[in-house]
Amino acid sequence: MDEKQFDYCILLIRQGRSDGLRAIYESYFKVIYSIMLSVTKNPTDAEDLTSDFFVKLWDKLAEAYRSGSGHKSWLAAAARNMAVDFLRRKSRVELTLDDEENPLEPQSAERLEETVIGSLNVQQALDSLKESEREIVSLKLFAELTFKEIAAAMKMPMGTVTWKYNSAMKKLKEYFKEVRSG
Amino acid sequence: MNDNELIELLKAHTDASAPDKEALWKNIESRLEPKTRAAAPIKRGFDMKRFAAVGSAAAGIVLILGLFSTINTRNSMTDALAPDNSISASKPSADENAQDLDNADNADVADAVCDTITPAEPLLSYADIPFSSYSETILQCSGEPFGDSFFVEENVLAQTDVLLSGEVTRVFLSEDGSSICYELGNVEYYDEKDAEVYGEAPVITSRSRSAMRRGRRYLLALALEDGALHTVFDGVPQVEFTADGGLVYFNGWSLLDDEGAQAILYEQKNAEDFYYDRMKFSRSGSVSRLVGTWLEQTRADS
Repeated sequence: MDEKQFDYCILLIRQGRSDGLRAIYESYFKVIYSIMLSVTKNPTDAEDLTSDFFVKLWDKLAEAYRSGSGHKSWLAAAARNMAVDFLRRKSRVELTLDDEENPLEPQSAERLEETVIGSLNVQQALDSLKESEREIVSLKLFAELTFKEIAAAMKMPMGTVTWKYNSAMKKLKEYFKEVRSG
Repeated sequence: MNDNELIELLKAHTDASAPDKEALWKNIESRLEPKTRAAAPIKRGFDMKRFAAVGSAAAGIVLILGLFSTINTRNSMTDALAPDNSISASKPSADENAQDLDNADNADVADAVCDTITPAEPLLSYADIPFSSYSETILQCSGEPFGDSFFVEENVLAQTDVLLSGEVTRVFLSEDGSSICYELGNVEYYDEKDAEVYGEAPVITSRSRSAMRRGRRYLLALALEDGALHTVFDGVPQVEFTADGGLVYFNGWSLLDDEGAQAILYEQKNAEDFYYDRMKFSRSGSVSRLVGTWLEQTRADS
């Protein structure tokens, strides 16, 4: 979705037309979900937050949007802030996550073991990264933001963003190299 | 595993854990409250109509201001080219204010010095190279630059005790004002043994007239003296990484050269800055060749 299309969708949302929101949802559902997942590390929380995000976009965010600033980085920054706020509120309540409450859904019964083990490896690899590294990888790969946009969204120098991204990718490759050779 | 394989693996993982798209949309749709008020127009960062309305009046003012600006630029260029050995941390001088290399206004200075250069290869402007967005007053110190009078790559490497890349996280003047101190973060030591000795956030000193900027990443050849690390050679700007992994360096660093290297126009700091038109930009940068040569030399000496 380009900037003009996004602007038009925002206009539709302000007019009370849900097809505008639907179009943005179709384009960015996975991006928003991946950002929420990278921050919360919990698929259930990420799903709830994704839903909350689009409702908030309908209620309030669309009014605050200003064209010309890059809609992808704007969406990413808003999603990230929402996820971070959620984690802060959650830590105050001191909820603890039980792994059994957050199973990964297998694609089919026949590939259950392979899928779960494979997913656990990837999840463990991602969990081994620092929080900022995980977020940057998510914004780069799933939101497909440029390093400059990521730097703006995370309020971080661009040099740091590129360094952390390269560092994270190196760590992930080394992790999988060990898993495969082990 | 190459980058593409890793990216595919990460994407597949996210896809596997993602919720059902249609089911989630139904959940969202059920929570949307109807809107009744009229749509507000989307405000843009640049309002064409408003600009057109004041354009004619502004044009006259711009012309007048342009004349003053040209006069001031000529005066500040004279100041910028004069040697300045004073401590100016608290009071930015005219050349410091004029030397924000991320500001497009530097094109005026670049155009003015272009007349003195006849490069053999196409020039790239330093202002066009992507660096991090930090922009702030550059400190100046009173001490004489470290290192020999002339840059000789072999000599610089021979005097290098520690070779690293790091991001400048803090900049401050030494107590006596003779050096600028830089605290580094996200450090990569090219000899891993140095990491244990110097730690994650080493502080180094430099007396280069081309001061380093906070938030940017540099490749640094450092010497150990009286227990402290300082830059080996201050006569040229330190090797700098661009945001996309390229390198900006003095052309005396032949080990960093690759086929695609371009000459760049770097800003002259003062009349004794003889290197501003001898800088290069390389998109890939042969850091490994420089590191390899230094490590071989270091291990041969030990």
